[in-house]
Amino acid sequence: MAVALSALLAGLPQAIAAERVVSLNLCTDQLLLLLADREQILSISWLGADPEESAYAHLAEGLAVNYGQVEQILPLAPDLVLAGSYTAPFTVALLERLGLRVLRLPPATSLDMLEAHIMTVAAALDQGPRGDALVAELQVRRAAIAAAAPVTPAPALVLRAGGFTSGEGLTHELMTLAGLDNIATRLGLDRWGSLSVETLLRTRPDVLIIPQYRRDAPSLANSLLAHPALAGFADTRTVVEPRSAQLGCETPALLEVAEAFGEAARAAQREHRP
Amino acid sequence: MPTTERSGGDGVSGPTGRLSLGVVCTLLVALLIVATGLSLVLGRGAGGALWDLPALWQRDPDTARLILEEVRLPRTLLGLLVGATLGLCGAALQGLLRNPLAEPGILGASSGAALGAVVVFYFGLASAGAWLVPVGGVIGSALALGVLYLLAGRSPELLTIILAGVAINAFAGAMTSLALNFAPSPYAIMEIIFWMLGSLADRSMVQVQLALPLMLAGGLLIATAARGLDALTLGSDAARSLGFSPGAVQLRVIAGTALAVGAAVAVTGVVGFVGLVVPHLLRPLVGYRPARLLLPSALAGAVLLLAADLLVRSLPPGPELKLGVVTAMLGAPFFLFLIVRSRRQAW
Repeated sequence: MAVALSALLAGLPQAIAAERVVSLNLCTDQLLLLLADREQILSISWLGADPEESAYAHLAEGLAVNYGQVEQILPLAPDLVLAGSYTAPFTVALLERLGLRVLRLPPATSLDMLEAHIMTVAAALDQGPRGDALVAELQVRRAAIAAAAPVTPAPALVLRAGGFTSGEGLTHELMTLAGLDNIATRLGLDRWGSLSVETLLRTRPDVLIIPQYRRDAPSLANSLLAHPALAGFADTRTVVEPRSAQLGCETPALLEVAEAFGEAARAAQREHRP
Repeated sequence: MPTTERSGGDGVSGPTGRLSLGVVCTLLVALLIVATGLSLVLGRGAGGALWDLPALWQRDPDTARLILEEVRLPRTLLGLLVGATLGLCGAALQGLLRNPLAEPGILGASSGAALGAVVVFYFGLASAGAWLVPVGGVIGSALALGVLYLLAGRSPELLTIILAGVAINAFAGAMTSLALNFAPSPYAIMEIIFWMLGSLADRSMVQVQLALPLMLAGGLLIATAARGLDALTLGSDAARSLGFSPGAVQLRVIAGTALAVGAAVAVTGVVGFVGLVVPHLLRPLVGYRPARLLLPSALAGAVLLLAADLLVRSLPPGPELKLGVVTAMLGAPFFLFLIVRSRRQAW
């Protein structure tokens, strides 16, 4: 009976509990770190262990890292490989050709998609209860953030490195949830676009969101706010500085950012609308 | 056959080679065997060691065989084929256009192929199957060729062909940038940019099967034009009087290049400088006649690309450096050296 049942389950891809898992993508790395037992993880990508890139790098201590090449993965004999939908297509195709099970997750564009990804990965790892618990916790926090949001949203703007801003997508959803009014939507930008110094000067955000990414590395992108015309632009405003790693992938760290947005929205309301 | 010809002395186009074609080709084949062997046995595995195949073979023979047959063999074959394609097409184009700067990129074949592959990425077709990327590349290079013929087809003027190539390159480059602008996500952009830098990593026999027939067809087409290329060095009229139609020679070389380079670029991304450097490297050895240059250029191109790929693999463990970056890094200074050294003698 048990044999027949396991044989039946073996036919269903989702039902095979993966015991030896390799992840090739920064975002799947983090979901794996959160949901798997440590013994299930054979290796994660080198980015997943880098605290500048990964919000959960601290969980990766002592784990082996890979550089996303087939030759590094095959000797590990994984029974599941996690990858993003834009992970090197040749590598993923070769792994599939060699008979490895590859689970590819598209980059999440909403919190609902984050929850779906958590459920998908948890099911593949046979960690259903852990996935359910995490999703339940996230839903409670989402509700709390929404409940605490000010009635009148505070005008806000995201300034990513290079003047990139978010007009829709995940960051936009987090802002809306936390009671921030994303000015970028009225600047005719879609999911992500660049802001010029001129456009920036014409806006009147109460809250500035400036994701922090490798501040020490010299780059033109990081120096946007150093433009003479923008001297003092940030001084009079409420500034939120989430780590880029918290925003870069669909992980529960997104809600930490949303909670910080909520605080900023309430602070801006106290300061700018007494 | 080139080997049966007198070794130069006929004054067709400049000085004769110092070595016989047979000696040069034998040396190159020997080098190629060494490079192929090294390419099969060296590679960074899970432990990060470059030479771990015997240890892996003892521990886990199945995986070792899989790595050898399904990872390193296609990588080596593609290095060989793409290198030979670039060397051969570079030599043929430099002969045809009588221009020392000619290389496969000049006709727009490379940038057209790159655009085709980027479009496949952009519409997310790559996730439907990696095999669609080479197909996009070949269609792109074929389109670039079609446009080239619309622009320059009726005119046998070489200058027109070169200028049309420049225009097609500029247009394809602009369209590629446009596609990047509208790419579905920053991750897609990164993937496309990395792909365009050129690499042989993790290609499989599927890519070999897709590219091999096209590369062979292109190479053969160019080979049939070899004697015509020699005749053309005397000028169009002289070639015609010797029984070669300049238009037919051009068509063979250009169509052959589009086929072979389109397939190569689609599988490996843009690997520059091999087609440019290899003929210059060999001219002092085998002489200046285009037909004599073809076979050694194909062999040397293969050796050069395998060597560059070996260098990429030998670097310390980390995200792999892209092959196109290495060929440009080594190729450009070497090319400058060649220019400085040969400035006194007319090309």
